[in-house]
Amino acid sequence: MTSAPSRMPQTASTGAVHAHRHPPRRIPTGRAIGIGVGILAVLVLIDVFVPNLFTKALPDRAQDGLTLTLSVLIEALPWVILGVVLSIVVQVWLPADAVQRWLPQNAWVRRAVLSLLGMFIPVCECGNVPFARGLMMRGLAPAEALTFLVAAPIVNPIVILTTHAAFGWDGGILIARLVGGYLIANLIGWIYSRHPDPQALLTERFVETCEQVVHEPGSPTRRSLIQFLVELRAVMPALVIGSALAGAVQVLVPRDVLLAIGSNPVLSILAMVALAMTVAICSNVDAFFALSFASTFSSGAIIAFLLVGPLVDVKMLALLRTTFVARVLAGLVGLVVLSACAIGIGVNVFG
Amino acid sequence: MDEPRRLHALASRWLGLGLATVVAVVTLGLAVAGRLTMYISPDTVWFACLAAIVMLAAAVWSCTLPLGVEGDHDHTHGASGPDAAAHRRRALQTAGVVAGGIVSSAVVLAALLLPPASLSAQLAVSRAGENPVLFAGADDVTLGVADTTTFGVGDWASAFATSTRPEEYDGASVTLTGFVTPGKGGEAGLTRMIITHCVIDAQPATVPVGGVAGKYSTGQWIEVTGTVRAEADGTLRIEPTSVKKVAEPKDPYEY
Repeated sequence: MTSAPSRMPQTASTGAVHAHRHPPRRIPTGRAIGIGVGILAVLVLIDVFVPNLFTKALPDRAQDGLTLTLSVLIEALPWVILGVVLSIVVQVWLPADAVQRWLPQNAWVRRAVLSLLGMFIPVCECGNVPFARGLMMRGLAPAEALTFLVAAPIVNPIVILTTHAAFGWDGGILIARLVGGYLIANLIGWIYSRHPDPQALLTERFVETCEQVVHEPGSPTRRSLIQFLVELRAVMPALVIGSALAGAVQVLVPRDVLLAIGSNPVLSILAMVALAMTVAICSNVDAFFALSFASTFSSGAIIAFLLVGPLVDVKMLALLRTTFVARVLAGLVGLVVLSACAIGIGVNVFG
Repeated sequence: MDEPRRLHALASRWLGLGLATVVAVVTLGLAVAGRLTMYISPDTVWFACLAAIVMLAAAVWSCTLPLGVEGDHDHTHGASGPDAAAHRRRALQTAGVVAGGIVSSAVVLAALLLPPASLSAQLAVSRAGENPVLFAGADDVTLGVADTTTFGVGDWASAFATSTRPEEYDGASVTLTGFVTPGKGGEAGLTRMIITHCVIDAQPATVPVGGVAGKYSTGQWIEVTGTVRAEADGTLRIEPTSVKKVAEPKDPYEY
């Protein structure tokens, strides 16, 4: 670390990929840390003292929306940080060809393996996005990253345990959820792998970021720290906006209207799909939430809820938008909802 | 670094690191005050705190990197050619980024500046039809397996709703805390929000309490001491011996 402070500014300026970047002013490490601690201290003081100045600042409904938003945000932040750390590991610390070398060559087998990756990577759905971005920076194709992103929230050990805890083997809900999630993921991976120009699936911003981090010079430690900043910059606003949407929808959309639809075999599925997309509950626990609707809704509707919620709820869509263009997201929502409805209707008719 | 570029780099740092740091500070602040359960389940408190500490350490460390190093470009200049459509698209994109930045900053600053609050009684009333399924073994009580003295509002609501032999509960003494909501048939209910994981999955649980209706406003927190009574039609309710107003508890939810 002793050589880092003197080397850092030079590497930053000589390595600038983009010509318009000026050589940044040099800050000594000690002073920089001091500034950081100072800002942190101010934030802590604000957090401790300012809230006491307000007794009840917002009307009930706005306050409820804020409370719900913050609960999602506080719940999701640790997973996002874990996801960012994993993306740093993949992007900076693993050898450049590791991802390519470890994955099978055949496209179908490759996607089949990627859709099981969730069994081994302990990240919840919000953390999957930065992790998948890290994988793509290491050369994973967009369609393959989509396969992982769609499969991992469902085909993972925690979800299997909680879904089993909530439903047991009743009505084949656990099996339908796992198999359904796996099939939908591979279907989506296959469809997008046929796209003639895979780069067109990605946002310009993400493509630029990829170029930048791949050419980033400096020690692995410095690159890790830069990757940390880059990923937070990409994911945080999306996470906050996604959480805010989830909170706002909960206080604005009357849930009893959705639930009044009850047990009609087709309408109940659509109602639960709508509920799944708007409540944005983590896939780890949504089974317990769904359980409370099990008495009023058909099994097919419960399965549709458990398939759609983890994949394309409002929070997840906001996060995915950092990386994929809007057209891909529209296709993703369409495919997931249609497949989930088909599986749900199948279970209602034959189950 | 010239002034606009410096501002842009600062904004960029704020929207990434800044937002995450503020959420981490709020998380730890709530945890130290013992109020993090106002948002998330006690089971995940340790994980949230650990991640927040890692986040803050990395945040301080990242101050050693000069501003603008994350290479987030200003899309307003240097657009691809003089093409008017491309230019408009860029402008629209910039507007989107700015609007998103303002919304996300506002939410995170609200978290920092405003005191934490629990969900309102109004929200509980609007979800009154949903029944959280917490206590699947309601009839274990009859076998002496379950100990009703530790029951909260959620356990009782579940037991009242699912018990096949309600008379077994008759005479059980209870002390419950919750807020008042209007119940069925003009009778008041004692309600508490039940949470499985974090507040977004909150569902209300209500037990009917006799003789309270009209005396307290909706949303008033009360502590009810009394006994469970089974009606002739098999429904259960609580007959209070004493009811007193209390302040909202520090942990307003049941997990």
